[in-house]
Amino acid sequence: MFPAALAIALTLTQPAPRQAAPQTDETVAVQRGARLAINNFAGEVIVRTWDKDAVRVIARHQTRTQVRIRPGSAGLSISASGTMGPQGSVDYEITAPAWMPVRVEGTYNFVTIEGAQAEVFANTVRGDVIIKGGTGVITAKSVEGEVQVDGARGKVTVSSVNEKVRITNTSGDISADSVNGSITMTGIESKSVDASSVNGTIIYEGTLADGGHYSFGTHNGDVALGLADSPNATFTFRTYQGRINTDFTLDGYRPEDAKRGRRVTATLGNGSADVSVETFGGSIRLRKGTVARSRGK
Amino acid sequence: MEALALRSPVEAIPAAEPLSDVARAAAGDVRAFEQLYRTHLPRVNSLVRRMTAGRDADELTQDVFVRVWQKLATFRGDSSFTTWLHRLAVNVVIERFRTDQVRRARMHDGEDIFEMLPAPAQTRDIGMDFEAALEKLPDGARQIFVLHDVEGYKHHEIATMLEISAGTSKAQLHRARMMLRRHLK
Amino acid sequence: MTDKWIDRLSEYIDDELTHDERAQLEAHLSTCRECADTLEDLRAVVSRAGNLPTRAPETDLWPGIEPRLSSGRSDAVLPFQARGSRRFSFTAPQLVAAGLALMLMSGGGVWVLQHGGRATSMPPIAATADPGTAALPAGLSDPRYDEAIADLEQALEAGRSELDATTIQILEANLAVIDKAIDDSRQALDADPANVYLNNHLADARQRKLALLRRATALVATKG
Repeated sequence: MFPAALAIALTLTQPAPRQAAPQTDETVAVQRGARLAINNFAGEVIVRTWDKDAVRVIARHQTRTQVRIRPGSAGLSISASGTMGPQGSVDYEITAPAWMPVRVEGTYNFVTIEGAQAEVFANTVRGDVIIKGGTGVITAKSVEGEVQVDGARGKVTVSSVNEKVRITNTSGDISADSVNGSITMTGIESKSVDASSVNGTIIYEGTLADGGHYSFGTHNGDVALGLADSPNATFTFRTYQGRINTDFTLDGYRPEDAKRGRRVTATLGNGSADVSVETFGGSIRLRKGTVARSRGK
Repeated sequence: MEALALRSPVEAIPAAEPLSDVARAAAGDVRAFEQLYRTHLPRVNSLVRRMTAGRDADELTQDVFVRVWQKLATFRGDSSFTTWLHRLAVNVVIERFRTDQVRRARMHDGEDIFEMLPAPAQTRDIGMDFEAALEKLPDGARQIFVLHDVEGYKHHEIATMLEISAGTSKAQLHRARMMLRRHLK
Repeated sequence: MTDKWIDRLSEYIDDELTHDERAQLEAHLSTCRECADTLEDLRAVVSRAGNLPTRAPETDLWPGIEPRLSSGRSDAVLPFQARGSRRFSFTAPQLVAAGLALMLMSGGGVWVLQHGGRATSMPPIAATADPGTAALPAGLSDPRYDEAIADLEQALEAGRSELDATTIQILEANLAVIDKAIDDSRQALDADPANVYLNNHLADARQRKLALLRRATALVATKG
């Protein structure tokens, strides 16, 4: 049920063919050190990489929309504007050098960035963000969409307000956040992980490195850690209404203490890593091996 | 004080403005609005250009006037139209700066926005003209200088608009003035 | 060694020093050449700033403005394309039209910031507000936090017409999720007020609410 204005607008537009020829196809040479910034109000932004020192921009959009590719002192900036009135949506397929840092901002964007070997930044309100690769500072955020990061190395910050967060095969410092969505981290090598959700479940499968710091917190969700072999860790558990169960034999662990948020400390091995797990209403599980057995998604 | 209604607000508008243009524009008269646009364009354009060092200035100036059109019904006539319009222009520019920046997670008084954007390379060219030197200031210092010394806002007003402390505003203003004094010739 | 008065010269020019500071600075100026010269320079800068010319842009901007003026306001929802079919789906006419509809500006008096004036037709964005802080033991209420929350909620309420309905729903739903967590923590604290975990958990939940409200307010600011 569309409001009147939208209904009128609908009758005035022609449906676009599925694979229309792109309205923009330009390649611009860039120099090492340049950064790529894409600002798109709505549409799809796909960025892939190659080994040329150039950026190719393919864009599909209405004729009234003009794509601007502007070189500047910091690098290349890509945006669109309406030549007559409001800007429509633009779907981009961009190929950039792997060394080039990429930044994508916009509101109704689905963003995919693959193969980057430099910094990546993607922020959208509605739309999923998928990042494969990335080195250095990697930031991926959506309000309404899912966010996935795979194969990144560095300082990784991932957040979705409403939907789930997935981080896989990634190394470095990780910070993951969601209000309503679950956070799943698998194949992680890190000395610093901070994951927090209100409603969502948190799953972590990865190293607990010596001297590392790991913090998992949720209000209503469960926290499940899938640990390989015998890590060296000191666990601090707090749960108000939930339970703790563990596949491991933990030193100093008294399950009867784990209620009403009282702190329960337990050790595995030499206790080197520092692991804090908190949940108000959910349960805490320590599993040997994997946690995320085909959960049907 | 009643909000400016769409019809017959004539008595609410200060005499400084052509009485009919603001009222007619508020009622939806595009030609009247175009007159307002042409009257106020030079000053708005100068303000926007100086605050942004020319970046996206045309686009932002257009955004300002579109915003004026949208909000015209809320102009109460309790300040001059010019003052109200300029305040809107400043807000549009500040909002654009915010969206261009990485979001800060922590609660600060906003001082770090002035350090995050790299300052353009400082130049020792004494012959550079004052306006060109203004353009080269770091964003925060330049904005505060333009708002205070060019546009006449007070520090507490600037602090509210930019979400910084009045102390930061004073410090940045002094910094801007000290940098600009080499380019007076 | 920098002269401490150099940093106060701008305040002196702007008449922001106290009576005593002013007297001390003036006494200093009579003995310090560097400060006196700097003061003169700064005054010249201020004078120049006040006399900068205004100039119109080189191109006429009206053609980029006129088409964006309209008298209708639309509550159109941007249709949310199913994720599976997203490739090129944004070139579909619905999205373009919805983008157009979103851009239709309000020229009328529908959206009016008033004191006690006509409210917008939608319910307030923070429908499940925190239960009254007055009921809390002294240690649990934080006036600065409450004020910050109130300011942000107000800003969001004022600007909510600038967001599309789906985004508003999602923001409200998530604020409600956080409010529930805050309520749960508060209730638990009623029974166990000295509980360290609960106190920290409540503080975290409040910080989250603040952060989400800020993010939402920033969205309103960019859309306008």
